[in-house]
Amino acid sequence: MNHPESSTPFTPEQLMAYADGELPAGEAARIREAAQHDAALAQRIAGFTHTGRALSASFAGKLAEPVPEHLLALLAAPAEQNPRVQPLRPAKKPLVLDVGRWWPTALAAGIALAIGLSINLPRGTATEAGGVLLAGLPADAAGVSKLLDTTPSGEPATLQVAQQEYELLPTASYRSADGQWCREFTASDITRGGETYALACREEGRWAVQLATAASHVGALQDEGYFPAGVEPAGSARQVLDSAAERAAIAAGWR
Amino acid sequence: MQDPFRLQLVALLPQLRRFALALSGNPDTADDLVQTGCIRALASSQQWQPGTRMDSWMYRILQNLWIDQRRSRATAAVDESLDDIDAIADEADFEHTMHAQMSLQQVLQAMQKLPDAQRSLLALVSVEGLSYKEAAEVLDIPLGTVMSRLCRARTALKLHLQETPA
Repeated sequence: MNHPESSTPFTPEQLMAYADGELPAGEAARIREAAQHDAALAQRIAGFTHTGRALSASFAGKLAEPVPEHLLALLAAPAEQNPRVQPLRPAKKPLVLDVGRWWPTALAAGIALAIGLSINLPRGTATEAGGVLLAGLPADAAGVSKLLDTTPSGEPATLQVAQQEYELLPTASYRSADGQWCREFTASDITRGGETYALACREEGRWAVQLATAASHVGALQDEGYFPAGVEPAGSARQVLDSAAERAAIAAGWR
Repeated sequence: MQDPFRLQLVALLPQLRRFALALSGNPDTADDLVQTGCIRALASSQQWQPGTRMDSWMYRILQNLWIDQRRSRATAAVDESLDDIDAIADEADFEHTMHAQMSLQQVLQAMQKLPDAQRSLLALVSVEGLSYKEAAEVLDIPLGTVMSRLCRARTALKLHLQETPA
């Protein structure tokens, strides 16, 4: 297969694959041989070698960087193996929660029951107006509940509220211990940036947001007793729906 | 006993952060992407088959999340016609440029000028060191497409890097 504009019978793809060590021995030998007598060809190969090396070398330092704490915390072992995440601690003082972190006591207890733990959490306060904001999006905005009704986990959906565009991305669905449907999702402000991680549970035919925190603080939820789907302690009865079961729940209107 | 799934994932974090940086071009966006990816991975850990490569599985998760985000935010400001760049720059000049200490920032900027599909492939092969075959599996594209797309990516990147003031 000849490259029409090349003086050599090799395609750019072949030369790149040669530079990357991806060619079978026979083909590689032909190119090596040809390059010894063809300076232009050798230069073209060198071009590919250099792009490859420049990339791997530029990024090499990134591997040595310390991994941020919140990522490590997210992947920390379940509570019983990790004394740092101890859900049975007594509340030392009431938390001062900003608009991004909100958690009514009754619900916290409900969640604790849902994952088979008993915890004691202080009451959180929402915004002064009484509404919870998800990355700036009012949690009770028309559309949030509707999107949670119909959007499968892993599929982003957008919604517009007061000229601002938001994205909701459901990440997991499960049934709490008392049989309530719950969904975890992220809400992002597309225009202005900012991402919130939230949990909503089904109450009286709609989704009510139960807790919300800046997405960068998901790991800290564990310290406060809530374990996002996928990081529940060993022995938890919570079963996150697989996509088929979730589709069925969506089709059934979460009844 | 620590959960081996989590342990493996923790061990992969430096690589995943590097890959996410190569995709997004921004360290903060990259860490957000890794975090979302880890949440996704933990939630679907049953789908991962022990004995298969977790790195490839995670690259795929991050890649899909990133493409989803890009699509939904419609920020694909990159001119897809770059995909057709066929020019071969003067190799001698290029070699000279490359020796003039390419900073990570310059490389990230140049990579951001590439179409998403080219950048993902470049990140997998030239940054993460996957073989063509492994990259084809992560991206679910034929080997021939890997070759032609990667070749266009490398040629275009070279041009962008030459444009960048050293």
